[in-house]
Amino acid sequence: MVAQVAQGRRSRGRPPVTGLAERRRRQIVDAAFIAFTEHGYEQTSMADIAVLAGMGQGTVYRYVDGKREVLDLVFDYAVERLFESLALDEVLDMIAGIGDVENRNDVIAGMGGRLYGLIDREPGLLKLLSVQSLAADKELKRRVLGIQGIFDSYVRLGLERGRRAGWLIDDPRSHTVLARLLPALILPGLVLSLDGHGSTEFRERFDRAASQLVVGGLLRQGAQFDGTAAPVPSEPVEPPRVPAALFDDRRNALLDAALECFSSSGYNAVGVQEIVEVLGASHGAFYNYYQSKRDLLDALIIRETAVIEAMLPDAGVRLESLADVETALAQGFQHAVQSLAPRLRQLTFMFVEAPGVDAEALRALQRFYQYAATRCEQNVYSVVGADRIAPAIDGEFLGQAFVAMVAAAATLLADGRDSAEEIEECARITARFLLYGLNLAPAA
Amino acid sequence: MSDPTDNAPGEAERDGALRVKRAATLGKVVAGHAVRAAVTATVTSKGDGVARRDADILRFADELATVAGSMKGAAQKLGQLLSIIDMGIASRTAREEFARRLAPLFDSAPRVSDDKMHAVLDQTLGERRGRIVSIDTTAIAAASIGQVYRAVLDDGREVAVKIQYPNIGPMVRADLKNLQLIAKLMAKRLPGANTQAVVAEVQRQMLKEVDYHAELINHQRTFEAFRGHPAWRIPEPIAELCTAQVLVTEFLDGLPFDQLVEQEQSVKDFAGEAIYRFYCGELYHTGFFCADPHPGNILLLPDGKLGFLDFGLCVEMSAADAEIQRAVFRALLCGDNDTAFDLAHQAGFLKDTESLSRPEAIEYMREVSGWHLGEGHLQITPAVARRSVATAMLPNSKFYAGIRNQQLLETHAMARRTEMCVVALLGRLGASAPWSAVARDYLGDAEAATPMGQAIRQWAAVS
Repeated sequence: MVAQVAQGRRSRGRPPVTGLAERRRRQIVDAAFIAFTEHGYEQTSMADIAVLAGMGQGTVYRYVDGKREVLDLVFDYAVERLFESLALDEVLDMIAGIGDVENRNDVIAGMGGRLYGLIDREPGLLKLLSVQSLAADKELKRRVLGIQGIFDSYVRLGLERGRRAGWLIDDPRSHTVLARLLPALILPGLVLSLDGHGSTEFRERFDRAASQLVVGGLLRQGAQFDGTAAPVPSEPVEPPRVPAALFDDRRNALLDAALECFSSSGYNAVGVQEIVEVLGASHGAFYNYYQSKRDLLDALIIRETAVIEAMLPDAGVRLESLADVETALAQGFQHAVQSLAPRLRQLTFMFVEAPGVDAEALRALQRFYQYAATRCEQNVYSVVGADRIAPAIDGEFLGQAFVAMVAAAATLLADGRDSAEEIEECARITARFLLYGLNLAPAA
Repeated sequence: MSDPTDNAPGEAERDGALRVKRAATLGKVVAGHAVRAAVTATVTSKGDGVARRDADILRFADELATVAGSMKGAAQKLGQLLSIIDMGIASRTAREEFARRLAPLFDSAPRVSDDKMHAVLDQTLGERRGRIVSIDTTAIAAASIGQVYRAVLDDGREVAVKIQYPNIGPMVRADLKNLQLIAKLMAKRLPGANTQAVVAEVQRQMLKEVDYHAELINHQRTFEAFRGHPAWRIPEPIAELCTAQVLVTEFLDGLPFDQLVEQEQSVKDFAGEAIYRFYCGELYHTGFFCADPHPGNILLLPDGKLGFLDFGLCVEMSAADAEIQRAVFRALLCGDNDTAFDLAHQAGFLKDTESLSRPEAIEYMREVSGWHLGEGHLQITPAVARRSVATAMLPNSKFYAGIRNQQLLETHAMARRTEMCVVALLGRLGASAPWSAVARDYLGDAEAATPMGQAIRQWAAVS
């Protein structure tokens, strides 16, 4: 174990030529990368990898111990590619040398361009690093979260340097929130790439919109707000509405038990046996309701998305004062985050791990995400007014970014920042970011 | 202060002082690896980067804090290790800045709620949980992979209950793999910092720490070996209550090492000899030794004996390796340098005689081990300890280039490092003893050298 982790060494036969060994391992990783991104980890066998790599299966086993080790190697390779493509250290250097806001905007646009360019060039890379790795097992999930944490830290470091360079608001608390919101803007592009339908034209629209949002917010320059602010609405944020059970209780109990098992152990590690054990029920009881674990997952997707759907915003009313718009958006965020809070762990499984189960699950959840995004888009457009939104802001992007930002804010909850005040503050900062970009305040 | 034989004495002394001071502070707060980190890290880090710019290193500190800070679990050890390394920073202000930038890593020791930890205990012990009649709600100590609680058993014994964080195994493995990857990526831009070697060290330590089964076996073996020992005590492991997640041992109440340092000289001398005999004596005598001599694992008990804790990092040498090691040490003790060299050469760890010639190798061995080779009483002052460690490990040692090309077998590397850690501890105590006579004593080559030696022989005769 020590040797494996420490040096990535094999315990099996050592090939005579190190150059050859490196080359062979590289071939295996390349082949596995293709297989995993196309068919998923669970569905790929070592035999598949061997065929793609053009070696016998026995040869493959001379260089790696098994599929799990290959997964780690592929993951390493993908992260390496990601970090190389993003050139984060160069970005930080640039930020450190930034003199004015113009340069800042160039850096942001460059960063966005690289990220979205990566989606174009290597759609499989991000898919592997996100949905597929998150679904594989606990250890790899932890690795994904760790890498994501490193990425977030880089963003925070960039923000800190921006503060020192004088082009970012001097408020550490808003930095914490911004550090989550900025990476969230990749999500629309990522989702776009997952189904392989993202065209370059799409990608450019999203890229442009993301840069615009970061740099100046969604408002068109010179957008007119004539009304005076209405008195601060005194009504409290409504408690989330959770729809009544959609199925009879036995079905729901099975779904609850399964969701609990999946959340704590991961979908692949849980069998029907574990699920029925939670309820003290028999195998037979399970098969009265569901044909298989996969069948149950479909039912779970339907139930959980229905719960979220009930929380989605209605089309709002156009507001005539900027202060009201800000308040309304902040309340929308706050409402959404508070609604997610009690079921955070289960929802994390549904929207982070379940998409990696198979292509069908991914498609189902992706469609729901796009639907939710459309609802959010309509809400923002009607509240703000389409004529006041900057032309560079793509509507589809905006809706998806809104959903992504809610999810990003929810991750702050998972870190223990879950008091009502913190959620409120986070919602306020998010609304300001949406309206004004990194400045968090209207342009002077 | 300065050592005339050293090329850049002032700098070396200051570096050493800084390192020892940081190690001292950390020893208290990190459930940690202060001494061994200071020692191992110096081996691996300084390398050829003497001419590196301070700015690069400060940027490295930023990135390190960035990377390690986001791994809330065990992998923070990397930052902790690196922060006490002498990174070869030239200016004092840059050094202070370096420390400041890494500071965030130390504030965020992972802390799991006591409720969750107690839940782990309930779950892992099942029915046996009933044997623990009371347990503190809050932890008395937090380590990187778990927390320690004080408790009482149904037979009235006071125990320390060390509980692993839930799911720590896969989490540690995941963090270590990420760390290795990130170190690899960083190394591309920072040649010479040799982060990979430091990471490998962190990995070794962490994986051993997570393995409570192995630790229990080591602990039991050590406890059995020293029942009724006249100079030290090993807390009794309560094996029937130990699992993969929990280690229950007798609770030893005593003064921590940093208060031991403030005791009278005679107490410190006794403690120093006990530490020397426990770690180095076992290393040479049996080849099975605890490779984790650091302040947090040593207590002064009310009866004057020492208490040694924590057996997560133990090493067992093969009989052949142990024999070679003994033979080399014996030869050095007798002044038979050529035999010592020949043995070390034959055993394969002084391979490259091009870069380290026979006379150089001999001089190196004698300087590193000089503190326990000379005749008579010697007080190990911080300067003595530093000189030994510096000769062994630091790049400004004149042997550095030569010794770096030699291959040390892992067990021997661990043994040498353990010795370095011991001399660092003795230096902090300022302990005095006839070290070479004690060495001949525990090797069985001479009469008991001290009252402690006599007491140990009497104890060994009856047990």
